[in-house]
Amino acid sequence: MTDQAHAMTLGERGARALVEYREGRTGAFEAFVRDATPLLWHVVRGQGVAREQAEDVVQGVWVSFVRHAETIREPQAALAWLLVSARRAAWSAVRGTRAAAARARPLPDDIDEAGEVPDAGVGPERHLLETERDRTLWRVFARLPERCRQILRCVAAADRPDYRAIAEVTGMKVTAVGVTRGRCLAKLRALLDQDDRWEWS
Amino acid sequence: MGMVMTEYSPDEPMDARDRTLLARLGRVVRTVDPVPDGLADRALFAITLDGLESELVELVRLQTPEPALRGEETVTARTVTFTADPCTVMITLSPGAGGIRVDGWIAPAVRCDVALFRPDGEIRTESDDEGCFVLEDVPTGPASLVLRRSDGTGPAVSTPVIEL
Repeated sequence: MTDQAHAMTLGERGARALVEYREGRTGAFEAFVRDATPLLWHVVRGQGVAREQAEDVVQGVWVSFVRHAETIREPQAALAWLLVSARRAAWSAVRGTRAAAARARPLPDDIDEAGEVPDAGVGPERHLLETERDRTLWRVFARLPERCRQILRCVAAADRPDYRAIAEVTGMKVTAVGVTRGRCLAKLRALLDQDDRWEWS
Repeated sequence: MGMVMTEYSPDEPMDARDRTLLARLGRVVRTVDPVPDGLADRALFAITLDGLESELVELVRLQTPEPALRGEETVTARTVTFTADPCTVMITLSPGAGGIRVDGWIAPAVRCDVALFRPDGEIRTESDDEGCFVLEDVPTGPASLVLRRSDGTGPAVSTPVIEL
């Protein structure tokens, strides 16, 4: 990637990728797939889709993006299109899994192996966190309402210059002064203030 | 709740503390839920395959319980099941001498032309009357199966790109 491409936000890179893709050039598009895939991953996982299934959902979103490449009117909207599609596809995957789980009633012997409904909250993975502070943050984060966890996961997973690009789909606002905190980040800060084990500095 | 909490205005611009907090949360999220290696490559390969074949019915992976901890490298067989309206395909992947061995089973049992697409080419075989097929010595890496009934009826089906 060139220095110039680095300076562009993810949203701008998405717009350029789409324009070039339509013209038959795939370099910027491939780079954009690599850059935006982590963000899509966290959007999908934030909706409670299990890891393996989330892989398929992310793939499906990209395939669908290419199929719609000619119909996305504003190249500037490429990233927002992806984020909205990812959220929708994840939602429908979760719904499908729950329906399948409800249909497949486990035999008594199968209880241990019964597919659990995936949970985006706190799980055994918190042991992967090395510092007490990170564990505290993850625990407090899990207390946020589901929608706030989804939004903050998405914002946190993006690089800093990309706040603006994803503000639109997360309910944060872009003002003359900058990106607003939004109610979820405000709530997380308040919860952390209340936690004895959390220190700001 | 009735508890006194420091309130922060959602309408204020983010300050340095917000940014630090988001950066830390980003690191935490990436640690507990890392993006799978090669996911973008598999997505790009899925796009390529989608351009090659048309009118495919996409099979959906059936969810299996996740292991409690990730990252352990056990060299055992792994079974993945895909399903959609016309059929269900179960594949078991096990390490062999010259690569991965793929044991497949199609239900309802039917004779199918089986193609395994990889970025550097494809491997073909046919299922028997019981719907069973075997592909041996498949190199590791992204791959997708495409199945078509040998009698030519019905739509072809494909799996998502998975990592062998």
